[in-house]
Amino acid sequence: MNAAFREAAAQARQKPVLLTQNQEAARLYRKALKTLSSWVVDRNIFIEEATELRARFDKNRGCDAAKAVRLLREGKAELFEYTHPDPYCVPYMPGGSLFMRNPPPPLEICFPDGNYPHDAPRYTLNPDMTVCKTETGKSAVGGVLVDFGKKNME
Amino acid sequence: MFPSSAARTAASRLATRVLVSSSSRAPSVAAASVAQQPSLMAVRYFASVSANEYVMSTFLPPAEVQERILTVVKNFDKVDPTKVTATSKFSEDLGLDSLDAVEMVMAIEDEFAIEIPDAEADRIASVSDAVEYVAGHPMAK
Repeated sequence: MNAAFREAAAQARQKPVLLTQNQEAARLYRKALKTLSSWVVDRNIFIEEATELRARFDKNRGCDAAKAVRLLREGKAELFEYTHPDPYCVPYMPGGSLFMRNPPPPLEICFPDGNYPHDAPRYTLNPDMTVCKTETGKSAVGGVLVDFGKKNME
Repeated sequence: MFPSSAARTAASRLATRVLVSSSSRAPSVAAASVAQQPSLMAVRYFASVSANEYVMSTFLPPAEVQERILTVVKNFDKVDPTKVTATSKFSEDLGLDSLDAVEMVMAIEDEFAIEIPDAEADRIASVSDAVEYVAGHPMAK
């Protein structure tokens, strides 16, 4: 159990990701669209509102770095104001009803004698059920902090 | 953006939203995260600590994935459908900017009912990247 707390603390102590301003703007736009889609269920209204949101982003395109810093900060604050209490998520992600509903059983249980078939495919799964790939740097080895309040995990 | 989005997307989203709203919210240890706002976090250990596990081959065939992604890209407003090929890049070949790429990735997520994490979504810059990602995602429908 101590290991669990230590891993959680290690997760919180990770260095914040450094992104360029373009990347930050793209991520803000993405989160804003997802939040909008949680609030606005009707597709036609969503398209209208999303077009307006896009126009807001386009209006400030190509501004200088200092203004961009301020705009990004204000944008993130506004996004926080619009947090949805129960955002839409894909069912197999945390907060969805299929999340970890049928987790793949560990090999030790499938083959208690320890003689694993040599031709069986071996994958390590992330909690979002994608396959761990070392080159993308996402691997679920160890503890993964799942945030049920915000329905994400990083 | 996508004025001709299928009504089925909205319908399927409503259906899944009914399921989502009945999921439990687990109150848990509050931990200050690296981001500005504190959030509720729960530590979940998954069985994949050091063991590899089996996964059924629930991957979609790459040909079908490519066909569907090309349909999505061609239906985009700002894209000329005649210019779209299996190897077109969003920024160079199709003339889209980063926000358009974000919209495109979201449309692909909607099409296959998956969620692409932010880091991977930034990396998808062409049709072939998208095909490769979706074809390797076991939950893609």
